[in-house]
Order: sequence, then structure tokens, then C-alpha cells
Amino acid sequence: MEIPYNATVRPDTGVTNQKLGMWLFLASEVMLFGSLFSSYALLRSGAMTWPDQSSIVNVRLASVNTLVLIASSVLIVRSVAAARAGNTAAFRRMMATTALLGIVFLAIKSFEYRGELAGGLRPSMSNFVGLYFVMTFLHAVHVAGGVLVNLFLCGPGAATARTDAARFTGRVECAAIYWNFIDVVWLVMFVVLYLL
Amino acid sequence: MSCPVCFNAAASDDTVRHSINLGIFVLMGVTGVVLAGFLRFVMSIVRRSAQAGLQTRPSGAES
Repeated sequence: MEIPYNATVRPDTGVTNQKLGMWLFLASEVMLFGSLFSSYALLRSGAMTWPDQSSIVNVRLASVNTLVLIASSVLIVRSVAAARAGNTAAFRRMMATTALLGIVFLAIKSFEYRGELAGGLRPSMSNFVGLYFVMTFLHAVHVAGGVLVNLFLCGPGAATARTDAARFTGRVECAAIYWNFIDVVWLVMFVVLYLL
Repeated sequence: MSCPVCFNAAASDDTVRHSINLGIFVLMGVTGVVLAGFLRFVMSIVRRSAQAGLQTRPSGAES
């Protein structure tokens, strides 16, 4: 059975059903992360004292991670352009590098966690540390999910580029939208949890 | 009013009220942005549907 408007733009919505589904999913994600940022605002403004965040968490490693995610976002946008142009080899190369950068992000994050846990930091210590672990871990889980999708697209999923190029390009575009969303969430998180 | 575990027993109700308000405003802001996005999307669907209807309607048809 053919799913309608999977690869072609639906006239009334102006997007493919693939992309519409992704945007609806991201709307729910905005609400999820928004509730956590709301909790942060509530707990921080209600606290009698709030710790100096930058002295607790590792700002240097987080800065490196920020650069890694920004680089991966640039690469995934270029991989979309390559997929649209039908250049599968270039697409696979750039998407694989994007996935690799995602893995580097997770590796740096786990290294950061290891240092913090070894230093005696626990989520039960304070509201800030609890929020820090919950928010950054939830974000890391999203990055891990994105890495799996990116690896699939540049690996076995790339076979679709030969059989159904339009659908494949749509998938790549959806993956890029998701990845850029995760990048934006990290940028907000970096400012709120590390710099403020 | 405030939970002494979450908000410190020494916190006054005014402080807690202020913080709860801020939390609500942040969440309402996020919700507002998402709902505004939905509204804009629905409006664009209505506009596009009307345009598609005009284009497919045979010339000379009154209703």
C-alpha cells in the first residue's frame, strides 16, 4: 500500500507527511524540555542560596562539546544538500562524520560525568545538581537516538537512495531537522546550566 | 505553604510565590509559542486549501 504524500508535498499543508510528523514530534519535545527549564526557573528563583554553577560543572568540556555539536549541525546541513543533489558518496561521508561527532559528544559527556561522579557529585546533593543530571542525561539520550538514526541513514538506509530517492531525501531532511533541534536545545542548556 | 525540603524551611511564602509564578510564566511561554505555531499552521492550511479550491474550481462556476 502506498502511503500518500510520503515523498511529495501535500498541497494543503505545504510539507510532506514525513516532515509534518517530525514537526509534531518536535512540538512535543519542546514541551518536554520546556517543562524542565520551567522547573529550573522555579527552583532557582525560589532558592535561598544557589551554588556557583561554573564551579561545580566542567565548563571547559561543555564548551568543547558545544563546538562539536555546532560542527555536526553544519555537516548534517551539507549532507542534506548532497542527498538532494543525488551525490550519495558525499552524503554518506558527511552523515558518517556527523554521527561520529555525535559519538564524540557522548564520549566527552560521559568523561565529564565520570569526573563529576568521582568528585562526589550526586543528583541528591542539591536541586541544581539534580536538574543538571536530569537535563543533560535526557539530552544525551536524544543525541544517542539521533546518532543511531544518522548511522542507519549513512549505512543500510542509504540503499533507499537508489530505489526511492525522493523518500530518502525526505528522511535525511527529517533527521537533519531533529539533529538541529537537539543542537539548539544544547545551546540553551549550555547557557542555563553552565554559564548563568 | 512551601515544602521545606524543596524550598528550604527558611524561605518565605513571598519568595516561593515569586518562584512559582516565574516557573508558570516560563512554561506558559513555551506552551504559548508551541500553540502559536499550531495556530499559524492551521491558518496556513486554511489559506492553502482555499487557494487549491479556487484553482480546481471550473471557470464560470458560481458556487
